[in-house]
Amino acid sequence: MTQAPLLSVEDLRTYCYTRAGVVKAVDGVRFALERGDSLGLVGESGSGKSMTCNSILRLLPKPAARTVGGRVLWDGRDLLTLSEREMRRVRGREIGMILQDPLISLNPVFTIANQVGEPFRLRGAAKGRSDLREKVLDVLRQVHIPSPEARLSQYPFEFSGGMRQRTVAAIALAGSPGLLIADEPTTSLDVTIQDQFLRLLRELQEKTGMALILVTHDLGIVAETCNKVAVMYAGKIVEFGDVRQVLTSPAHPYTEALLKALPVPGTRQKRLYQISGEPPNLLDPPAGCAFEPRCHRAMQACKKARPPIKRLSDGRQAACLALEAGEVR
Amino acid sequence: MGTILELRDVKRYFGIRSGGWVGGGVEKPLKAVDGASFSIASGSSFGVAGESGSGKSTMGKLILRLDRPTGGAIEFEGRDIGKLDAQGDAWYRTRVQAVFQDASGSLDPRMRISAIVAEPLEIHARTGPNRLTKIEIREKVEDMLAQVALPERVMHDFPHELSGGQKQRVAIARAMILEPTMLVLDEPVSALDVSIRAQVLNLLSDFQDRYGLTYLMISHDLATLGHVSSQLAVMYLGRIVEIGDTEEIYERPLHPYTKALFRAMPLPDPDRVKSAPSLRGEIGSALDLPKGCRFCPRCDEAMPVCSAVDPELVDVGAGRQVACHLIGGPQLTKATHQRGSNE
Ligand SMILES: Nc1ncnc2c1ncn2[C@@H]1O[C@H](COP(=O)(O)OP(=O)(O)OP(=O)(O)O)[C@@H](O)[C@H]1O
Ligand SMILES: Nc1ncnc2c1ncn2[C@@H]1O[C@H](COP(=O)(O)OP(=O)(O)OP(=O)(O)O)[C@@H](O)[C@H]1O
Ligand SMILES: [Mg+2]
Ligand SMILES: [Mg+2]
Repeated sequence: MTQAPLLSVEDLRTYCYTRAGVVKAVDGVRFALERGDSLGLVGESGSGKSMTCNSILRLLPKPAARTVGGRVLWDGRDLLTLSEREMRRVRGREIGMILQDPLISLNPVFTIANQVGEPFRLRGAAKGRSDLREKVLDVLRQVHIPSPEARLSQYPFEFSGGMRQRTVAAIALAGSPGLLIADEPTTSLDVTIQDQFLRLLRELQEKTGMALILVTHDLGIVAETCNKVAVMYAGKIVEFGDVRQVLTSPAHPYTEALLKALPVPGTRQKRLYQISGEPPNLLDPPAGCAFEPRCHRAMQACKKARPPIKRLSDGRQAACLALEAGEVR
Repeated sequence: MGTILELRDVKRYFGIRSGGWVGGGVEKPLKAVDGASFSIASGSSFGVAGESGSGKSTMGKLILRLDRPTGGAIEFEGRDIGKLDAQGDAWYRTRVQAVFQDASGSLDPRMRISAIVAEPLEIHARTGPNRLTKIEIREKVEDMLAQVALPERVMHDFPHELSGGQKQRVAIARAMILEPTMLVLDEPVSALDVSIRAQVLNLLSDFQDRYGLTYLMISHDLATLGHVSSQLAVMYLGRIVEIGDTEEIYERPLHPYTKALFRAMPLPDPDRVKSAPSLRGEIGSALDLPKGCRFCPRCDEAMPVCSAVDPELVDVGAGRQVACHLIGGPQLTKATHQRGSNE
């Protein structure tokens, strides 16, 4: 019998209830992660990346969004069936999180020491004040905060953007999580600071075997940081596989288009590839494949039914009828 | 191709009061832009790169006359824009237009799209010899919306009813309606998705081909700048540290900061092996500049002279200028030797 994966998301469905109607923000997402895996979750704005993460963490905006189906298997349990109390113990301890805006994640009225120490206190992991102080200093050093002793009594506003983001990481890591979910952790950072931060994540993964889900719309970051990638479109994963496979020979026409649309230095005279049309209206999605109206490979059949995600001969998964029909590659 | 815009030793210092009570304390200069000199050829694209706080937007605002330099001069089409009278000011406002990152912030939420695009015409073309009628304005607006590929029906929409990419196209239509010769684009695609970004960049390149426009594009995204610009200036803490032909800088960056930026730039190539960490430390503060070279505290290649003497931007040939003791130093020493001993 093979061992169960570290995290297994099965047919996850999260809907948003808006005045204008129901949005299937996450519409049958499935993937599995092993220890040490690093999954890049990419896709257009509104494709459901944050909703997928927030569904796993059970941090959905209430009452606007609700998970209506699926399973999230973690350490032998389905997270979707846990009580709120049990779930709080999972969050921050077993699964760490870095949400998009570091200013929201940090509390402006508590000191850095207080906030970074919180996970240790919750866990009862520190023996007395000086031990707690040592542990806090230790994680601050791990995330490369300069002169951490002097920083303990400071407040978030006294930190630069990069330092704040690393402090959020320190809090996430204080719980020694088996999985870290990071939603666009570097969007507000400069490239050199971003580079430092991504190196830090890789370093920690190597040291602890922690798995990572990294949401980003930068395929460069995925290439650098992740070993697996999931491409989302309109609430579904349309391609999932090994980073090298997906980025060097994309199977799904949407992945292909995304890669072709990237500006490449030294190509000034050339026009960039453009995905025609607009992203789908999720309140009234097409009956068939959601990408069909913009797809240059679309066939008649694509309008009729949404293609299921299937494993291809090279091991990756993709949801495209043209692929099944052998039209592509 | 003549020069359309020239900056000569342009400075913008802000007085920042620190310490003490309100009204007291010491005033310190924050050197947001500290001696920028360059010129832009008419019809070309000039890129400005650099990290947060390096002074890119401040420089953009000085060029747009949204702010005034505390030193130096800016010349546009041969006229000093610091010395324009009311008529000159009106002229400048029709020649140079801006597009900013946050389209939703720069579009009035209470105005319909048609009114937003028509507004510059209402201000500048309702009077004077080239006066337009209401109908002519309407026709121009419709034509411009078509040029930026927005469907006619959005004319009557409000900004919040449009997607991010559509809003950015409205901002471009508004900037283009007076048929300017130059656009200052401050992070015009940074907030957009990959696929929408491609649409907007293509649109900008079409406009340039069609009207011979000059662009000054500010961005922290080196891939976008590499695609768009023919000349590139790299800024660090208020200074231009490297400037030259974009493709050549990409091929062979000389300043250690430029090199670090390229090393840090994520590329969608899973086979690229990244070398040493690109940079240590954080970008410094423009309020508390280090002695000597501003980049010195983060530089791996720093020499003793770097923490003592602020390097000048020097010509290194092929139209490239670099402000670094490593690059300028040896060459200067050689020249001194040849000239004999002056010092
Ligand atoms: N609070 C909310 N109320 C109602 N609908 C919401 C809410 N948050 C998200 N949605 C819907 O869920 C969909 C998925 O949103 P989500 O935030 O997961 O997108 P995303 O892929 O993370 O996009 P981005 O790249 O912009 O962060 C959106 O299209 C939106 O319509
Ligand atoms: N009105 C102002 N008063 C005081 N300081 C200012 C003002 N405007 C800008 N600055 C300072 O000038 C410096 C340069 O800022 P600027 O906005 O030009 O940077 P930037 O390169 O555009 O950065 P970003 O990439 O974050 O947009 C910063 O240190 C900033 O704090
Ligand atoms: Mg999101
Ligand atoms: Mg700026």
